[in-house]
Amino acid sequence: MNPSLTSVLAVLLGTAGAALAAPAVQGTGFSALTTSRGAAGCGLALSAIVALGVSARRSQRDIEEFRNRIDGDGGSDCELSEPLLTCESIATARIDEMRRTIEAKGAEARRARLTARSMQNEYQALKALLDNLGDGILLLDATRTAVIANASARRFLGLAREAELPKDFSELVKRPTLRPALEKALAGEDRDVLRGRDVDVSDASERLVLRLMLQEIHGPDQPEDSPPQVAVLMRDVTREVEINRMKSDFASSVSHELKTPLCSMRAFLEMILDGDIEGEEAQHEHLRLVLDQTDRLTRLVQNLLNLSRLEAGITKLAREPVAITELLDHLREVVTPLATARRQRIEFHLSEFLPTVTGDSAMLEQAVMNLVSNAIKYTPEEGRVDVHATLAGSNVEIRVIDTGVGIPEKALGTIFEKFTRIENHAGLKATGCGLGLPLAKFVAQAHGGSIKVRSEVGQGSEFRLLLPLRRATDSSEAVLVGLEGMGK
Amino acid sequence: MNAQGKPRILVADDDPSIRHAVRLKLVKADLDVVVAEDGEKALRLALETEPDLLIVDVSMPYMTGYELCRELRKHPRFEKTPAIVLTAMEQDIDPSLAGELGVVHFMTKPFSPRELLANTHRLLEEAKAGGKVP
Repeated sequence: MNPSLTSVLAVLLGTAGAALAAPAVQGTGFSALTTSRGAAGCGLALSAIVALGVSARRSQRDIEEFRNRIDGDGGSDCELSEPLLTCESIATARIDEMRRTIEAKGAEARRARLTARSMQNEYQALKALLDNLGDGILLLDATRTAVIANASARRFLGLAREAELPKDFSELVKRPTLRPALEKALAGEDRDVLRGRDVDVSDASERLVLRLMLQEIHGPDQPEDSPPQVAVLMRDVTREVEINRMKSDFASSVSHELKTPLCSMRAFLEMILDGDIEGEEAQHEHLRLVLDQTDRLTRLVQNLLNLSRLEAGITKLAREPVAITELLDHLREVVTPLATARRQRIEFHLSEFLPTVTGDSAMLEQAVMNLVSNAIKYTPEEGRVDVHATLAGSNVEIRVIDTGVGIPEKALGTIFEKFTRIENHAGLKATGCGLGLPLAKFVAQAHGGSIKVRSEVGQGSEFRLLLPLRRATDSSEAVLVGLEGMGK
Repeated sequence: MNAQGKPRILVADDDPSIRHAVRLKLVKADLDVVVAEDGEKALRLALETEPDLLIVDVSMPYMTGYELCRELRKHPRFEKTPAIVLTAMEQDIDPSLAGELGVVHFMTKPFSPRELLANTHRLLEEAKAGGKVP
């Protein structure tokens, strides 16, 4: 091979970047590279070219000379055409190789950027997930220094949402009621914490019960014998604990309510059999008392069953004409002995012409019964209970007014909720199961009606039951249809 | 003890039927009975009438049966007065209170009036015997 050509080839091979600018070697290689310049990896390509720039400048003269020789020969020198083709193909190959390298680098960079972006996304998603968890998660390293605390954990610990995690444990667990339990758990002195330990950490501002759970965490590159990290899970179980307490209270109340009438029934029957109650009249009187107590038991069991069956949609409400006057006359017979036993005065004031309403007679009677028996129960002895029934517009209005202990304003919102009783209010112990008013409300609403309450502590209460006369086409129809539908 | 030498029993329960049944059973057994429908009234009545034995329901308005016993034990007169505590709920029975409240016998509802009377006689006898020991 011609030595000058060799040198030119060497120059070309070594200085492909500069050669790109030379018109003599414009060709497929260049266009290929031009295409690749459009790609994302062009930055790398350019830097490779710049790196070669020094030798490119040095060889510029050789190229000029080479071109002149070709031009001088008229470009038809066959001796040169062969090597020139070889030269071009080698250059093209070299450029292709560079293009591939550049493309590979570009793809690598793209992958790296994608990885970084997906890691960033993943981090953001994990952080959002952690911070939106209701459970508090606190990660402590082997020295019990906090590494991670999500938003809930910060709230339970008593820390600000974005504050830096304090190094000191007493600073970290700001909530004083939580600190001793957590210290005990971390010291391994509380085995229950492995299954979950409920800790009441309530303070003046909120009621809060947390279930603490501990989990040791061994990192993948952590030696087996080194102390592990500890994840502390804190779950807000306030509502759960409250429901369990209500269930337990409910069971106690039901048991108490069932046993009280049973107690006097048993006592009177045993005493009659033992001959403690002499004379037919006295015996009859006491048997009547036993009978009253069986009614009391029946009402309790009915309330229990009806409410659960109505709610579950098992019981269908009847749709028959109900004569309110008859219903209240019957009720009067049932409740008068109850009021008399408490030395209360009870009076019924019924308008002369009360129309019928359409609905379930037994359920309506029970609803009114619950209002009246509550009035009797929460009115001290010697008190007074009045039942009024009137026609008010398109409704029959039944008002039950007592001179009882009244209901504190803050309790008015919850008395229609199941199992709610006003504890220790005005010294009256909470009797009953907290089912009477929820059932009354349910029945009223199922008839398209409503119950309203007005009360003043120490003065008494007024419950107003409104029952619409017609309900065939109004929204209450939907309620009844809905209830019936549920029972199918 | 009343003027006729009959032992006096205080019965405190908020349920009128139970109160009536217990009173009837005890009066029939020739005991003197005073009744109250809540804890506060029972406390006043006890201080006023100085009964020899208390029959109290745990769950009463204003003051529970336990609170009533605790209040009464503060008075030297009631330090050794026996008490029968009635309750409808077994979980209300706290045997450790027996020591704190003096002689206490628990009975769960529904109870037998016959048994209640037997316990009343037994506790009165024990109190009487205890009183004779110097």
